[in-house]
Amino acid sequence: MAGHTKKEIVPGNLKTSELRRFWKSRTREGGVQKHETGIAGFDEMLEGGLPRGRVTLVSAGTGCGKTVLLNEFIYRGASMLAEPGLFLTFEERPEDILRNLRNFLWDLDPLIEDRKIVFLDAAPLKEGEVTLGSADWFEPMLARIEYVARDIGAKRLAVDNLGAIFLRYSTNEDDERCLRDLLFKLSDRIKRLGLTTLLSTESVDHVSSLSRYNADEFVSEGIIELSSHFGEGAEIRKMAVRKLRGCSFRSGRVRFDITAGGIEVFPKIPIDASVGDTDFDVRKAFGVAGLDAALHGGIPEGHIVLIAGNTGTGKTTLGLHFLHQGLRTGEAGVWVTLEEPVKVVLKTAQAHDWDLQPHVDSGALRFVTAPLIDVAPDRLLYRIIDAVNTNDAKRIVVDSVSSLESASMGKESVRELMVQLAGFAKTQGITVILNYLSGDAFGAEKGQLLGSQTTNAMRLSSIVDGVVLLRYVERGQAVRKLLNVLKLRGSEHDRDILTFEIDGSGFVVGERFSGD
Amino acid sequence: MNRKRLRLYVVANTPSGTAALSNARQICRECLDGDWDLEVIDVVERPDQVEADHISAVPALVKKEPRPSRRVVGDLSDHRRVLMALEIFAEKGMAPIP
Repeated sequence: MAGHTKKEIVPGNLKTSELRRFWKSRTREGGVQKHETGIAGFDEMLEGGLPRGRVTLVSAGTGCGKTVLLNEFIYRGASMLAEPGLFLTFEERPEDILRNLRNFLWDLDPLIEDRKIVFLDAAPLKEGEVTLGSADWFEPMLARIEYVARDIGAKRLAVDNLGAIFLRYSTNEDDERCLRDLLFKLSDRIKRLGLTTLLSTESVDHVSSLSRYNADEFVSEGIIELSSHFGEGAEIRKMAVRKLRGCSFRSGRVRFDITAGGIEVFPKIPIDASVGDTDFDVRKAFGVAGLDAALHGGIPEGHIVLIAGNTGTGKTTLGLHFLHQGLRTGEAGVWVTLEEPVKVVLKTAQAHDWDLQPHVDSGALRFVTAPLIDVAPDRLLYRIIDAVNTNDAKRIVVDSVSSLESASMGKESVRELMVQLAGFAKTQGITVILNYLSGDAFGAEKGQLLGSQTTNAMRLSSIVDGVVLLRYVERGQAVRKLLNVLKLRGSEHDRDILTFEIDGSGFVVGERFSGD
Repeated sequence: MNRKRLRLYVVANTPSGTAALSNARQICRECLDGDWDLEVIDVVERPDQVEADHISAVPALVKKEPRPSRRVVGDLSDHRRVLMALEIFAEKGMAPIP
């Protein structure tokens, strides 16, 4: 498990080169070709990239990240794909833009020195310029673009932003027709230059400042909308493709983040669960004698099993059993910890004499953490897949799913995330444990299996292949812990209710529970 | 060697370009007593100059010399306003700034 370099996040476990081939195979000769941008997840959302040689409008409110997106489009082209690019700015001065970009881990200066990236400065002069009436910004802009694009052999163009230049120089009554004509001419001329172009416009409340001229709808062949709003503790950014004429794309709003590395988009991962690669005869044991026996050897490979139970019943410990057993037999694992810090999990393991640190050091055990405020389900899924891709894990534990629900994440999106995770795991033959805190303090009245508040856990039961129930019962003067396997798809299992204790060595499963 | 230079950027053979040119010539002739040089540049012909001067819209009349450089973009028909914007005329009255 040596050499755990950070791999690129790749959706659905396809490598970048495979993805490229895949999307390329979907375009037909003579049709609109896609132009890979190189921005993480963005190409995936665009199913291969931006329409090659066309103008795509980026409509966004202030602070939504459009300047970053435009800059990264140019930067990725120049740095990764040897495609020189032009950045035309009507608003901010190039030096101000560059100052803002220095916070990213991008090595821009050599590219600017080599003229692989050229900034065209059309921002208002700080002083010494007076505008009287309306003026023609179109021809000078095109002249400059054409001149520099030819000079450096540009393949990409970003223009930031159209609203600014339009409002600066246009005062005519017939603005609407005028702008439409200009946009039409613009995309025509840019097409002739063969530049794949992102053109930004300001929007307010999702309405582009240009849309009052009916211009963007009318002229542009593609529109991408960026939006952002404040969540409880973080800014929630989303983007959506509103239109991409002649091209396929992933519809719907997609979360994205702006990190030091740039923009990361998290489109839903299309997972074909029908290609599931699992073998029911291969069993994944917990290393807990009575439980493994009840499961007839363990969980069938590729199964998703819910461990539902009350607080303190030992869900985390049982999950640790599962991962530790895997690590002991040479199977890497991923622990998704949503409640306890990694150190606490390691200490809990230590208390049972399981030293996980060597496995952490070797990379065989990887932790995925997520802040439980404004959880981004898609990002979390990418993190899990990323972890699995780096250590080839065969076992995953999510501790716990219920904490996602209590953390302002809608039950629907939790379910969706679990469906995606389950689909991914099945295609990889990975066995997954989902811990779920069920609400009742004490399990059930005599003769009643479940309390009233376990319904949410049960909502998940349709997507899981097995359910193991942990609970307390009060009998006589004592509280006893009980365990039973409620469901195990496609496999025999014992229906007995078993008593168990947790001691220094972990779970100790005892005899059948005798009822009264 | 004239130290008073104006440069006009236009798109040649367009109504606004032709009007700007005639306004600029008139300004030089009538308000500046032919004391200034006027250089006319067609943005289509000389994109390199457009880029070098960071011209973002036309017509643009640029005072190149004496420094500091000043420019007027748009409608040049109000000669007095144009000359004030170029800081060739003072804010009030018609007297050239010495």
